[in-house]
Amino acid sequence: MTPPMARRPCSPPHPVDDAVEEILLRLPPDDPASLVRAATVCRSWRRIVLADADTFSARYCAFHGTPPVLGFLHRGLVDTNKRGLFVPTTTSFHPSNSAALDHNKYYVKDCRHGVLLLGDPKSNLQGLSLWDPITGDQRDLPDGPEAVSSRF
Amino acid sequence: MAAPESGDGNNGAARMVTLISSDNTRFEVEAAAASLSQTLQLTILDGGGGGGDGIPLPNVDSATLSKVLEYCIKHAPAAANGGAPNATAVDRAELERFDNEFVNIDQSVLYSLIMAAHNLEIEGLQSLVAKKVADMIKGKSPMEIRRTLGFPDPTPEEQAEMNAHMLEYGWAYE
Repeated sequence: MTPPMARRPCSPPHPVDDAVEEILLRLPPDDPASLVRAATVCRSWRRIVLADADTFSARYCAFHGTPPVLGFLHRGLVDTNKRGLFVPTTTSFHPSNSAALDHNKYYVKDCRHGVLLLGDPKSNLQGLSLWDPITGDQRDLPDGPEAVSSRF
Repeated sequence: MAAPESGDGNNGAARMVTLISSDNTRFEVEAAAASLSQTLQLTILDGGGGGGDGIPLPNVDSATLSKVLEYCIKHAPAAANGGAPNATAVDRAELERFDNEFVNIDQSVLYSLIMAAHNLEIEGLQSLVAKKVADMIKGKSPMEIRRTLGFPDPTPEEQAEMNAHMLEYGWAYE
């Protein structure tokens, strides 16, 4: 009996097996979901994209050069237009639904590496939240002392 | 650089080499075109493939080899110019038009090309066929991708893993 580990993830062997990494490299960077959906296709594709993430993502970045601008954040719009916080610049990408887009209490305080620091406009260290517009993940941060008045 | 020995003593004429497909069909092509294959390049530089010898390619059938050589012959002049930095826009547009038409083929032929490009290590062709498959799968769901490429239906175990992954990365499916 063949042990489970020996079975090919995409059995039987498929003609594209040898070219999978080259194929995945060519998925469009302005549609990040394409790569995620491809990673769901089977175990071996998932391993290329996720388990070897450092290798693959480095190749992907090198292949496509400067990442495309998926959109921009308009700080001034957040209080007047609840949906206007993120302005997409590609037709293929729209940020996932998030409390950050629907809630007018948030103010964009800073951003680093694609993650935004949102917060109450009247408070520096209270009501802070991190939001990843690509994945839609939002994580509230514990409140800091109200007395601190340094600006971000 | 010394010119590789052509074996036919016919200086000035392009050196020819013979490639033999898995079904024993012989293809005579310019060495420059065949040398787009990294696998063949060393043999050709060593003087192989000339005269009556020929280079056997046991993994490539004649239909596929014919198609591969069509690509190599078209791309050889640009490759000889180091990727043709001085090529005119017309030349580049013509190659692009050729490439687009070249991969407008049945999926079974495309698969044969993928394997041949991989075995023969023809970088440009590998890139072209990979782009074609990427275009075929972009924007599709995982199950649509599997069906497009003719993967078998997932086993219950594979399906469970796919479901778990879709749940974890739900944002990509909205």
